[in-house]
Amino acid sequence: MVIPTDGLAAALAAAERPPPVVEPVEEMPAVRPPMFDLVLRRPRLLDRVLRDEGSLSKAVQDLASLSVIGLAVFGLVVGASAQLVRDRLVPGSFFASGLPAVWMPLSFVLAFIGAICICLPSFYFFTQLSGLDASFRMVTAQALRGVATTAVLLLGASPFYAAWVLGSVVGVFQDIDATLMVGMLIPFVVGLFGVGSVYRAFRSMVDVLPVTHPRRGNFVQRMVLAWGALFTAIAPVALYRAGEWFGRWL
Amino acid sequence: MGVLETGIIYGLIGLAVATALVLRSAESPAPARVALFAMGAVFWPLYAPSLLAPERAREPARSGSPDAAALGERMQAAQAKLLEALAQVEGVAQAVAPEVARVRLVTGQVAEMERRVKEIDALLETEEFDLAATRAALSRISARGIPESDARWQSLSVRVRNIERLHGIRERTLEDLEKISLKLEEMSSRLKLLRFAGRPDAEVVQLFKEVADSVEDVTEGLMAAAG
Repeated sequence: MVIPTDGLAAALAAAERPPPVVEPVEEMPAVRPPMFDLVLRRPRLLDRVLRDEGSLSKAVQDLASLSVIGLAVFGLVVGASAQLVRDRLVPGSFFASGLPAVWMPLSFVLAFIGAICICLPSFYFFTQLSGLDASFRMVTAQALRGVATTAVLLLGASPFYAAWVLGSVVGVFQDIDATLMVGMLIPFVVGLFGVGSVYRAFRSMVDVLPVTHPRRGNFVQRMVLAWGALFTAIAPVALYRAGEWFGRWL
Repeated sequence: MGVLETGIIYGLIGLAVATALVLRSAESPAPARVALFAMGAVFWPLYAPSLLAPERAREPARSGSPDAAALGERMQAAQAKLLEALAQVEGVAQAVAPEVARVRLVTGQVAEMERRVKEIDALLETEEFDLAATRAALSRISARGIPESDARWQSLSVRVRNIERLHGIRERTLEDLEKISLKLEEMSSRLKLLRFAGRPDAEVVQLFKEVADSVEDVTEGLMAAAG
C-alpha cells in the first residue's frame, strides 16, 4: 500500500497541532467597553475585538494610550521614589542623576513601547514563520495587547511598590538601591502575564487565522516564546540607555 | 549615519504619519486629535500599518468560512463523485434509485440557498448594513453623553443588532451548506471503501439511505430556518 507522504505529514501536523481553546462566547455589546475594562476583565471579548480587522485601527490607538498611561504612572512611582531617597543613594548611582521623577516615566514609556516598535517586523516574521497568516496590523495589536496588559497590572502593583519604598524610607528595608532596582525589574516580571495574554490570544485564533503551512507541535508557544525572548533582549537595554540619556538632560 | 541623523529621519516620518492620522480622524474631538498626533509622531511604527490598510473593513471577519460560490462548486463536485462511486458498486443501482433522486433534489434546494447567501452578501455590502460604521455612529452618540434610554441611541442599537443577526444567518447558512457538502463527500468515500472491503450489497443500500436521510434532514432544517 502506498501512503501519500504529503497527506501523512499533514495528518501528523494536524494531530500535533495545539487544540484550539474552546472558551465560552461572550456577546459583543452594542458599544465596545473601554479598553481598560477589556484588558483587565474581559480578555475573551478583547480577542474578538482584535480579530475584527475593521476595528483594529481604533483598538491599536486605545491599547497604545493605555500602555503609555500605565507605564508612565509606574515610572512616576519609581522615579518619585528615587527622588525621595536620593540623599541615601550610593554616589554615582544610576538613579541619582537629574530629576528621576521626570525622566523615569519618559524612559519607561519610550523603552517599552519603543522596543515594541523595533521588534514589530521580527514579530511579524516569526508569526509568518509559524504558519499563521496574521496581518501586520493584527501583529501590532497583539504586541500592544501584551504591553497594555503589563501596563494595567503595573497600575495595580504601583501601590504595593510605593508601600515598599516608604518602608525603606522609614528604615524597614536598608538597601535603597536594591529597592529601586527591583522597581526597574518589576515590569519584566509582570510582563510575563502580558506574554501569557498574547499566547492565549493566538491559541484562540489558531482555527480562525489562515494557515499558510502546517507546523508540528505547539508552534504557538514557540512563536510567543520567540516574541518574548526578543523583547526581553531589547527592552532592558532600551530602558537603561533611555534612563542614562534622559538622566543627563532632565 | 549617526544618532542625530537617524533621529531626524525618524522624526520626519513621524510627523508625516501623525499628520495623516489626524487628517483621517477628522471626526474626533480636538484633545483626542492632539493626543493622537503626539503618539503618532513618537510611535509611528505602531500606527503606520493601520494607516496603510483600508480605512475600515467593509466586511467583518467571517471566521474563515468559505463563500457561497466556492461551496456551490464543491457541492457539484461532491455530487458527481458520489454518483460515480454509486455506479461502481455493482448490483445496487436499482435499489438506491429513489435515494439518488433525493440527492439530486437536495442539490437543487442547495442552489436556492446559495442564491440567498449571495443576496445577503450584497445587502451587507450596502452602507445601510455596514456594521463597523453603525457601531462607530453608536460610539459617537455615546461619547456625546446621549443616554441609552434616548430614542436615537436605541435606534442605532437595534440597527446594530439587526446587522449582527443578518451576519449570523449568513454564517449559519454557510455552515449548513458545508455540512451537506461534507456529508456527500463522506458518503462517496464510504461507498468506495465498501466496494473494496467486499461488504454485502444490503449494507451499501442501508448506508446510502442513511446518508440520504441525513442530507435531506439538514436541507429541510435549512429551508425552514430561511423561510
